[in-house]
Amino acid sequence: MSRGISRRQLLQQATGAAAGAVAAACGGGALRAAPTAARAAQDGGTAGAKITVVGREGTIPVLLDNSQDWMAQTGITVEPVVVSTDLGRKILQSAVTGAFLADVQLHDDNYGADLYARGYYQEVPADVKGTVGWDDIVPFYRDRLSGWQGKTYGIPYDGDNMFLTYRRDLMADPAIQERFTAAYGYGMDPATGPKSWQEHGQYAEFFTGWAWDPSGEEGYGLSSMWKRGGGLFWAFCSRAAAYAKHPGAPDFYFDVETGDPLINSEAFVRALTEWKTEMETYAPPGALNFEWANGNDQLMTGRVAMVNYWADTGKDAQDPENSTVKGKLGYHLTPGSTDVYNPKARAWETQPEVSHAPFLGFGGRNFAIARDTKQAEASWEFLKHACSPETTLTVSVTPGSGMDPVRESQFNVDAWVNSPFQWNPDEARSYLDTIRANLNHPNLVADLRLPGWTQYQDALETSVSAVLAGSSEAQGALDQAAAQWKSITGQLGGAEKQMTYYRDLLGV
Amino acid sequence: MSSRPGVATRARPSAVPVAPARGRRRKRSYVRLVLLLPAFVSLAFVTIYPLGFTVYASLTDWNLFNFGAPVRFVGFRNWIELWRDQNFLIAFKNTAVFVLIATPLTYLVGLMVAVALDTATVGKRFFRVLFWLPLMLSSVLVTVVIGRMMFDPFVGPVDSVLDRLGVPQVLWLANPRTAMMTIIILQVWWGTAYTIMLLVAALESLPPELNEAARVDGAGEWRAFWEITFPLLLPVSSAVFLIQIVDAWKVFDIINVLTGGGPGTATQSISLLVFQQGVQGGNISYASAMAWMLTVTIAVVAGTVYWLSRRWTD
Repeated sequence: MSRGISRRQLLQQATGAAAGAVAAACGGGALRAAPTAARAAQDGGTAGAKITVVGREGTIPVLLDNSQDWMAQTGITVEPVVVSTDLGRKILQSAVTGAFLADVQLHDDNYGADLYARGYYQEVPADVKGTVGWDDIVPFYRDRLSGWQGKTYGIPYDGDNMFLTYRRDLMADPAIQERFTAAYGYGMDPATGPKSWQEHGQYAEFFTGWAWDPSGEEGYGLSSMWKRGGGLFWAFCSRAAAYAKHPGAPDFYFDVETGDPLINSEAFVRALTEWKTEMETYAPPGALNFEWANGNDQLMTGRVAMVNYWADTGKDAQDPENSTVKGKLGYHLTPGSTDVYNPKARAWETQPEVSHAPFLGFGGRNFAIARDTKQAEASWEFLKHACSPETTLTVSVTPGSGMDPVRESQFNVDAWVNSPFQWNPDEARSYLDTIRANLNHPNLVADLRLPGWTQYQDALETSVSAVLAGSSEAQGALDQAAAQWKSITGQLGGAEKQMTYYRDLLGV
Repeated sequence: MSSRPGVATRARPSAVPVAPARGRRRKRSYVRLVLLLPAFVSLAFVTIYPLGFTVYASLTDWNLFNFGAPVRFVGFRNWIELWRDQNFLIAFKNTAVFVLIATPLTYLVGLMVAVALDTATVGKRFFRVLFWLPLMLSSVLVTVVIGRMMFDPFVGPVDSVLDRLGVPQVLWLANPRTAMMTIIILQVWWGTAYTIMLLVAALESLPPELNEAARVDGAGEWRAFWEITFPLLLPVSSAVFLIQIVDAWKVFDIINVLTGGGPGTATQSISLLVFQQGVQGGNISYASAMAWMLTVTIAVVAGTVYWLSRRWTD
């Protein structure tokens, strides 16, 4: 029964105080009223304007370091509002409560639906698209993740996708090769690493339990993110993609026609069962608590031989202060499978070749301008500079920025070799080729980007985590997650509405 | 009262006219009202309104992410749904286990330390400050620095000591069987400081003559404690116990920072679930129902403990 009160009214009445508190918690600077000088600048040009920009720790300082000349030239001052954790949820809270966070915002793509659908950002003007080299942006990010219902609200700045990073030096070592061949009857391929999950399991088994690293400590096969709330959602979906994403069907999370969740299909159950075994058998002790970077760090310190993670792994490895594996790594698509589950036929099919399904986990980050900004003109001027191909490239090759390639112009090996990272040319080529192959793959899997996405994320993470902890069986736990997803979809307007958005994301 | 001659005389001296006295009383009652007004207003806005609003929210389908849709009244659907929700039931069970173990342990350890501090002959002040230190630490410091550092299976001192004793490595926070135990240990360590502070103050206020008399009558230390000291501490003990129980039911920060409710759902608490559903997930109506269920539970448990303690202390 409708009570005739809109959510907006309810929010305005009920969450005014909460809005202030949330915004204050996100950064006091963001709440400051626009300075007099800046207001004056609105009337005549942007010189003297002050704008605020919110983004993750690392990115914004690097960007502003590279914006000093631009600031001097334009007279626009940019104040950072850096959020160290949970940036996405903080931006979302400000959108939901109506609190003003910052003029310019670098938001996570997973939250794109929630932010764009409620009109939290301004539409990107055509002249800005022209200035920032819109066509240079990789098509998937440009066409699927920058807008909502035909309108463009964000400028892609960070291109997240997941792939396998492995110890190429070990896999190319003749003595190790010989030992592996004797055990498994085929040779390791240092150019690609394991190509299928079956091979991956054998590689992992091989590298577990003996001291293959110069440190002399016992090594392990792999690492990942198994901790709930610590990247588990993306690690699991990436692990399941090769089984669950059929090359001939767009469906991954849901059946795009009916809206029925597919996360309890045999494909996801098999992936979860195998993933749990890998964690218990081939990962270092305490792996159940590995989250975000500490899963990745296991590779940096020479403790594991492989990790399926974001592009950060390759960049982190270039820092000799924190890494013992600089120049020793290889990169390839996340392992695939010849067994692929067909969600339409509800049956496994055998593919003639290994089928890969690269997962664009997290989707990256977009820059956008807050609808309520009083400094729209200056903010767009800033984005013309920040999102230009030149600045984007400079920021992405700077250590600590955390920004991964999102433009064609960033696949420039020389830029990476001559950057402060000083990449080995072969490794840089392997790294960039892998990212490019991921992004242009015909069977790539888009991450979940629906209104209320965090609810779906939490439900799946809770169930998967219960299985990993040994308190639930895979099928039962995923059935429970699927039931919760169905209920969440119902609460968020129903399958028809949500599937319209999902089909838009998939381009079907 | 007015029949007592002395009182009546003092209350209404014949030299003072009646009307002005009534006027002064009225004036005094206005002053009282004015002084109480800020408290009433803040109570209304900070407590009564939010409480009422969450009751209302729990009876709707309000979801922050169902943007543009009207909020509908759904009756007790959310309240009923709670008892079918496995995650809530697990969180309820975990929280109850936490309360049942952590609260008595906190009290017992606190009592033992308080008695030891009361009877100490040297270093009394130093040890008192030492045991009260955790009170001054923030929950984040306790969980991140002390919790993670102490129980780190590779570099933590706890495992290091166990290793020397020949005990195999324990993955304290990564093992569902030990994660809750670790959180309870941390809570006991942290919560004991508060218990110690109150019990030490109570012990110091006890008249020493009673204990001395018991000793003269031939009671040993143990008997004197159980028959004299402990019964006299009961009013304070029941208050301490009550506060610790209420606090334990609301456990959130330690778990959120240390395990996030995991591994799996091994340390999922009700408060954490409310946070995840309401603040992170935007499911305000369901989170409100959950929060109210927690409030009702706390009220029932606290009421029962209070009633029992009154019966016991009387």
